[in-house]
Amino acid sequence: MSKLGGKLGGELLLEIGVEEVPAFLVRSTLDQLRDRATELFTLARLEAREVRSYGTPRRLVLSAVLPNRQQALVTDVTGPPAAAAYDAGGKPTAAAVGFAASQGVKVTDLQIVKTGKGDYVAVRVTQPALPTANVLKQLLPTLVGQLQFPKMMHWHEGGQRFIRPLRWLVALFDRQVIPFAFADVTSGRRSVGHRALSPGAVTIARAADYQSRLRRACVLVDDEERRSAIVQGVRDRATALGASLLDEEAVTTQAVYSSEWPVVVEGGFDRAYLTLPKALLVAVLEHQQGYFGLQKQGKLLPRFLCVVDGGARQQTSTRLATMIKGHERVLKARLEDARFYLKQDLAVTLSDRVATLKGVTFHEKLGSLHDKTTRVVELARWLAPKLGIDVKEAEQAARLSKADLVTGLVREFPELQGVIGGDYAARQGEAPAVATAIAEHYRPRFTGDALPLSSLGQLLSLADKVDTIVGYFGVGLASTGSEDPYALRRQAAGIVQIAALHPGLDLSALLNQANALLKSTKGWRDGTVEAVRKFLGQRLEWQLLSEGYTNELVAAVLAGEWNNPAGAQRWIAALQAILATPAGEDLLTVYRRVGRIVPAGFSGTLQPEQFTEVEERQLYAACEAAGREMAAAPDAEAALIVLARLRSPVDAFFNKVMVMAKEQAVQTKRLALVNEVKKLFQPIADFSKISAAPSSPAAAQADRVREV
Amino acid sequence: MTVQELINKLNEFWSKQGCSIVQPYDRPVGAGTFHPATFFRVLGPEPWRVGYVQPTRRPTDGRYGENPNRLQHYYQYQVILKPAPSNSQELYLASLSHLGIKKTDHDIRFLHDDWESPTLGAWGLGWEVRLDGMEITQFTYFQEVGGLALEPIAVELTYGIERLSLYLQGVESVFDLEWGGGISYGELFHTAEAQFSRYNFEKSDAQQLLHFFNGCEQEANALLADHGTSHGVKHGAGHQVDQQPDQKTDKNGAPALILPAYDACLQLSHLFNLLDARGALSVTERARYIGRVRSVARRCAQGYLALREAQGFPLLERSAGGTHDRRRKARVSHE
Repeated sequence: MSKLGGKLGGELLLEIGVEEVPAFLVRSTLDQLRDRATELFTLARLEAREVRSYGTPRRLVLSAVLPNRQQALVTDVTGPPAAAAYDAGGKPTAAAVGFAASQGVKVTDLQIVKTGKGDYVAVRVTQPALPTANVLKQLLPTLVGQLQFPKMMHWHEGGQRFIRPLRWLVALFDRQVIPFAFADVTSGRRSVGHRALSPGAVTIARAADYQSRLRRACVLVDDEERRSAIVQGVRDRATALGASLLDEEAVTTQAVYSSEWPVVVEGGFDRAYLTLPKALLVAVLEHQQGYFGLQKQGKLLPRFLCVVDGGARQQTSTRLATMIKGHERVLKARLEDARFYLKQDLAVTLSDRVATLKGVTFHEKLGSLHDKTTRVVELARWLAPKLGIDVKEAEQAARLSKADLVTGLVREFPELQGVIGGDYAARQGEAPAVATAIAEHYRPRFTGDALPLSSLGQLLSLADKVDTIVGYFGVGLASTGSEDPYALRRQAAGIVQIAALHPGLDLSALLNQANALLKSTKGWRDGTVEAVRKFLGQRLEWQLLSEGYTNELVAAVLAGEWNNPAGAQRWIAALQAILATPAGEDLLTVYRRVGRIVPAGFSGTLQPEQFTEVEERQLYAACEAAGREMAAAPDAEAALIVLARLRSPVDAFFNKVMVMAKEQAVQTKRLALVNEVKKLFQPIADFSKISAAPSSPAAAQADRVREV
Repeated sequence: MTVQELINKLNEFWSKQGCSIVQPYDRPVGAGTFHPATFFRVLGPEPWRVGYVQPTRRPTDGRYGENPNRLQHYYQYQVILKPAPSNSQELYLASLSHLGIKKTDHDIRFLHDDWESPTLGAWGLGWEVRLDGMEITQFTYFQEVGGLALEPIAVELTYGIERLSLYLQGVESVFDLEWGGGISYGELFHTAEAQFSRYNFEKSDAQQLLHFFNGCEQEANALLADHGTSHGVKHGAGHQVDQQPDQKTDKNGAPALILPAYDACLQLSHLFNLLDARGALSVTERARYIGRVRSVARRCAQGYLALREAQGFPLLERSAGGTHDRRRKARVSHE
């Protein structure tokens, strides 16, 4: 805290006392408070330093070091041009008199200022440097009123709203109270202590004392300090147990912003509950109860860590024991409830639940979840041989994939969809691969989430996502701009990532397959497959750009005939590598020579027996050989080198032979030959989009001249 | 502390806070909020303080009496303070202290839980209160009920009687709770839990329920429509008390039958819950049925407010000049 006072300035403290703000909103509100304050200080010509915000669920705090006065502001208000303001005799004209009157000054107070447009009459207006305390009186209520929340409420008679009732305001500039009112509260120097440990008023004599006064009243008001205390506490406990923490970050944040005096305690639960699905235990412990789960060698321990608020000033063990016992009982009740669901759920097999999906809508335009399941089974059957997977297993995984959506546990814990299905499938004796596939088929569930690990899981994930995307696009529910209500972008990103693991998979064919299963749907749109392919291309584009490839190369490769992200990735990596070598120049030269000359829509057929010139025959032979060699090439780069080597037969051909011969038949046979070379490029990329020749633009120029 | 002692203590505490202690409403309801002492009385400018026990039915929560914590029939203790006093949280904590739960001995948290009742067209902001991790109370500042913005704001405290009793008696199963007079909770309700769970999940006749639902809706519409209570007021659209049509009357000048219509509305809500427990409604159908109940609830709320207005908001008179003087124009609109 700053010790600045007197002439140098002083410390501002604003504490907004409020009934518990939702934990997930505290930090973002504090950021807002700091940002709005910074803006308002600037507007008010207050040179602020050390602007900080911190707080608890019950108090939003702003502190800053401010000068004692705002800066004065001197401005020239310009009026009419000087020429119009004074007559030849130097007397003020009506224009000058009028302007002076409008500014409330005497005509003699007018000055002449030089501007870019010439000399003008002006009034120098000085806005005085008001004492900071006076400025804050206006500024602070504005600041409080500017805070925005997703949902706001009324609680008093006035019109102002806030996230929860605002109950007190402390506003101090050093020792001085900044008096103002917001809603039904007036500011002062009276704060309150911890609700349980130190109830009652806490008087703050000066801003700099604030944190230490509240610490004595059992409030750790700085959220970063609470975070360190909690992190330290749980890590120490975990270490003592020889265990590691599960999801430390999320649980910590919840605890930081729902407590004022956090104390870490440890509790346990009956080992018998460890037979529940692990994901379910984690959901109960962490999501429902906000406890830290503990594990050892990947196995959960029947222990948990919990942050209690008001855990006693001196940690009286009996009080803490009461709290721990309470938390343990609640946890037991929750786990018991989960066990009940599990028992109920397992009384019916997933297989028998499939029919129930007829009653659950997937989307009103796309039928029930049962309809979706049927389509996913079809896609799985189509995909299985292509991914080298047993068809029976693929079908079974697909058939059961949505059945957990009608179980009690998933209704209670929707975030466990898939995971619960996989667990039940394993318990009900399905093949392990089937159970695993069901468990992981929703992955990736968010950006950065793991992909399904098993190939059957990847197959199921692809089938499910492709059906969803093609379905939504087909009935006109495509994502547009920033609108993505069905999270189709995430699904598309998942498809692109998973398909990249199976380079032999033809995505376009998969889309066509999905389209065929859906196209009898009412209102089905033509061009759905193309639209989805483009949409997937956008995800791939984003991915390639983020891997550092240039816009140009990405655009070129995506305009090629890519049907698998792995293919596109292979080609772009090879292109980037080869373009940095002399072979790159050969490659681009070959394309440049053959690329432009063939007219769009050319359909002449190749007639090798008509090739009479030696260059024609040589190029034809080279082209045939290149096609074979490219197919046999060990990698993409080798294939591109094969293409680049066509430079010499291509050069020889263009140098000796006139392609655009007068005689139509000759022209056609030669264009057909050139087109044959061009076709070798097409699956790779649209080379016309690659402009940067590594060297020698002259060669390209020469070609153009010749072609014309 | 037995369950009945707990209820007595709460009655005692809130009675001292100036609440009228009223009795449960005699219809199956899904929450204490449905009691007319809440649903209607939070509307309009009149002050209101009330406390009561309300038996509550949640058919989908039935567990055949096999789960120690879940019941399809249980009790709520409901308190309404209107206008919401500025020390609402402190009063609430004092009520816990009256039950022997000292805030200094426990981890008591107010955790974000915004409340919404789509069937009642109602929402509010507040918390679930957790006592050492157990949710014991829903604490809500109502903002809108029956689609009408509230002015003044009322605070609703809903205590879970069984949850609190489990804590206070230190037992693990709700059926082991001592109700009072030497009788256990299990003795009183276990058979009912088993029987109603079977009925709700397996034996209720969905076709009949749908039939009842349609009949009830017709009756409610007839009772409301005869009197010109308008359909289709938009949710949350700046309702204006000043512009309420005059009290609804039929052609003979008799006042609209808002309260009987509301009984039909409660019936609709319960029938919907039964249909839901039976799994008889698809997701889209569910939303439609909720919308049908809400439409009736809204018109009841509008009708009741008009009725009170026509009566001159009598409770304002009583408190005029007193601490609860709220005789002023209702806020013109909520954004």
